Amino acid sequence: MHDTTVTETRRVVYDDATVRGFLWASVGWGAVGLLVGLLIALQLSFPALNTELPFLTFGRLRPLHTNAVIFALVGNMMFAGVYYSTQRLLKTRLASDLLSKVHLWGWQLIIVGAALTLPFGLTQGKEYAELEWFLDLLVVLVWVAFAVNFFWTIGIRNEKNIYVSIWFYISTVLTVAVLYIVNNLAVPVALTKSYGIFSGAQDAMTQWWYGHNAVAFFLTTPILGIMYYFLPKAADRPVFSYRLSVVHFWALVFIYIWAGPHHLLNTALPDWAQSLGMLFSLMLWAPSWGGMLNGLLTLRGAFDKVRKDPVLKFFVAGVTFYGMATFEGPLLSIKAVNALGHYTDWIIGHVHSGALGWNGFMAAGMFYWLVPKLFGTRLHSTKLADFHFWIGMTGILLYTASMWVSGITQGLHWRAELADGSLQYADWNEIIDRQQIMYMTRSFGGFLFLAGWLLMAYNLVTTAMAGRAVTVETEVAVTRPARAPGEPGLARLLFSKPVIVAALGMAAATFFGLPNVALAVLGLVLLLAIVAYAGGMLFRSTHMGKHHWHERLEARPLAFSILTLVAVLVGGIYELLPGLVTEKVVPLTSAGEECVAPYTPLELTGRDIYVREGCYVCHSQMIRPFRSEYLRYGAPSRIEESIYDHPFQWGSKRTGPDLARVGLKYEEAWHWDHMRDPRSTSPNSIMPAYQGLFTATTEPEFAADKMRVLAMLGVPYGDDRIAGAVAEHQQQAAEVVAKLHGKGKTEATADREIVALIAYLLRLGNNLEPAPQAAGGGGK
Amino acid sequence: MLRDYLADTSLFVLPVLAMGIFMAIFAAVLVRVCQRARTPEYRRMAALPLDEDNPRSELS
Repeated sequence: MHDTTVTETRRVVYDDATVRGFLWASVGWGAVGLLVGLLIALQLSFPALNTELPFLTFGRLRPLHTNAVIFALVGNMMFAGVYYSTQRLLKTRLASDLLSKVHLWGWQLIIVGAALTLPFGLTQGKEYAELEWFLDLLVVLVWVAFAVNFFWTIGIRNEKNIYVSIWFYISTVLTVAVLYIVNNLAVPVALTKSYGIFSGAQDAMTQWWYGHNAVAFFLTTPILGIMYYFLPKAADRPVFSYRLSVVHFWALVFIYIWAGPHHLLNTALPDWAQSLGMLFSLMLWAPSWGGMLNGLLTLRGAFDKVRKDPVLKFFVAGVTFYGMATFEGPLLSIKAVNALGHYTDWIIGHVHSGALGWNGFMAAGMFYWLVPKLFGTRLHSTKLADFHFWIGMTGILLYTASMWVSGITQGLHWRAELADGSLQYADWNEIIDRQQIMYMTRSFGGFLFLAGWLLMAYNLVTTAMAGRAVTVETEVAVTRPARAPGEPGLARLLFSKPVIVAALGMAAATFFGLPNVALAVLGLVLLLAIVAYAGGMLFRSTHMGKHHWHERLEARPLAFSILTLVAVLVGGIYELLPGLVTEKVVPLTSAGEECVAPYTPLELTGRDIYVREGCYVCHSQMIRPFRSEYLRYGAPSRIEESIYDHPFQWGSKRTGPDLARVGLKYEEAWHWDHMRDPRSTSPNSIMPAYQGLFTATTEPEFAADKMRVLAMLGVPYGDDRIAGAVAEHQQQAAEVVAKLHGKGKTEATADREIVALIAYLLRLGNNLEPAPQAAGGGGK
Repeated sequence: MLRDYLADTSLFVLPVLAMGIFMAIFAAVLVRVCQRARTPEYRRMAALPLDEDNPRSELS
């Protein structure tokens, strides 16, 4: 034991070059992401803006917009804030300049990769997880560099206790790694194509476990950490209640992970999972509002500063938007409210109150505070920053209010019935027409927000040009044990306990993701061993429980990280495990046939075109068990109907109608006309025209390669079927073409992509009815 | 084996068990943070972002 201490002065030179790099990247990429957002908003009012260039269609640009805002704007902002505050809170420089550079430039490379692949249709077809497998690998590598650098910095800190902001960062680093790896487990078919290992309902559950927690641990927890550091700095007073921040942290990280299934309410997902998602979403009200109040009350006695200081204006508004968005989220998770709001523009409004109000304004507040400090000067124009605030605020309010009105109107129109029980608005054209004024208002709101962002960019650049990049040096008086161990080197770090335990934790999480019961059990055993190790370590460090355990915990990042990981994994394991270990069974018809057959080679080709074009961003394939949906679309979707879908395409938005049973509604020639010119069949349609599908050709041989990979993932394609895939592909295409010729579409030829897409669309809903005793969907 | 076990088990027990664990940990954290004896420690921790001008720390 150390019984003597020494006090020494350590000189610390902070690495703010990395902070500046991430900051400018966020400002620049943010402008691009917002501009693409404005373009796709306008496309919904003026379909001609989709042009005839495939890479400018809504379905391809929308993933680019969401990825740019999440991973480029918020991601870079988050890294800037994390690196700036972590160094100051731990009173040490970032551990590795090399890893900082790998992180900074690697992340920008990923963003460039996304910009070069998503518009060209290279996508996994899962929201916010669209990047193809090779970019996913790059994301993992860069994230590991970030994690090692971050934990290494904690390892060499000059401050014993870790402040609450660092806790939130730890939860982000660990959880995002687990979420990203598990949700993106895929088998490549080629460089440009892969299939995720999950399918149907299991894929839906995993995807929204990821999707929801990307919001939680990428867009929320790191920004909360930033709030807990930068808000007290800007207000020049400590956080309102450190006690509350402790409760806020543990409650939030534990509860958040459970709420994913609220994205799948009233679908074919088993009821128990839906109820679980709803209940935990409601529980989120408490920690979310606890955090919001803790942030706002930090300004107690200093609210007058908010009038004068644009930084505080942005922070106060940002935290308030956090409160509003986290009130609205649980509200929308109540099944009855969700029945009205889901698939509508209400969700778009909700998302943007968080993305623009919380993330966008917190970013702006942090940038206005940081840039003068990083360049040793004063902000170029406070008045311009004030103007940015008001123009941005007006933009957000116009955006969210118009989307609320549009969304609730959609929800009510979809379900409205006449006295005779028929749908009042059976014609989708009529519904679209009534939304247009709101779509225009939304575009104007988005334009105002973008204009404010550009003003901020000008203000920040002018500020930076008036000063010089500052290198901050400080001296820290450190009292340490007389026989303290030396600083760890890279080799020692790589084989240190935190890295080994983290690697084992990642392995355990990955084992859970793989569809293998033995590996899932091994993962569980590994996790239990890690928890037991952390518990034992804590128990020892508190001298068999005699000392304060949480105080000890705060000074032990490894134990803290393990417990955080466990807190966030518990929900994921409980929700994902049953789906992973339960055998998938396709129900039989009364005649003993399987209700659902795998896609034919041509249908598979068509389905991949559907995924490539991003049809899922506007069309769902999930008919909910409501009378109005039965009248409009047909029988509710059953869980087995998507059993062979890699990825599932249930969707999250209905800008256009649901397509789960569209194959029963229209014939070949209608689809031909509709895809060539949507306005020719639906006068008010805002869908892009897909002229390119009429000239691009398919590759039947590639379908065979895809079937081989899908067979590995459990889709029952036998060797004979795969060997005959090319012939089957060509034969079915010839049949489709013959029908098109019969309807006067004499220019149709069998090798065109449009033929494959039509084959897929005709297949939708054409599954067999299960025998009465097997029917029911829902699951146990 | 695990499949058979889960097939015969009501999955309802999982969220109930999880809720129990959560409530226990939440209560423990709540009791811990509400103890007055920790006030000085919390005061020091809350001031961490503000003490850049007077950086002094204890690693022991």
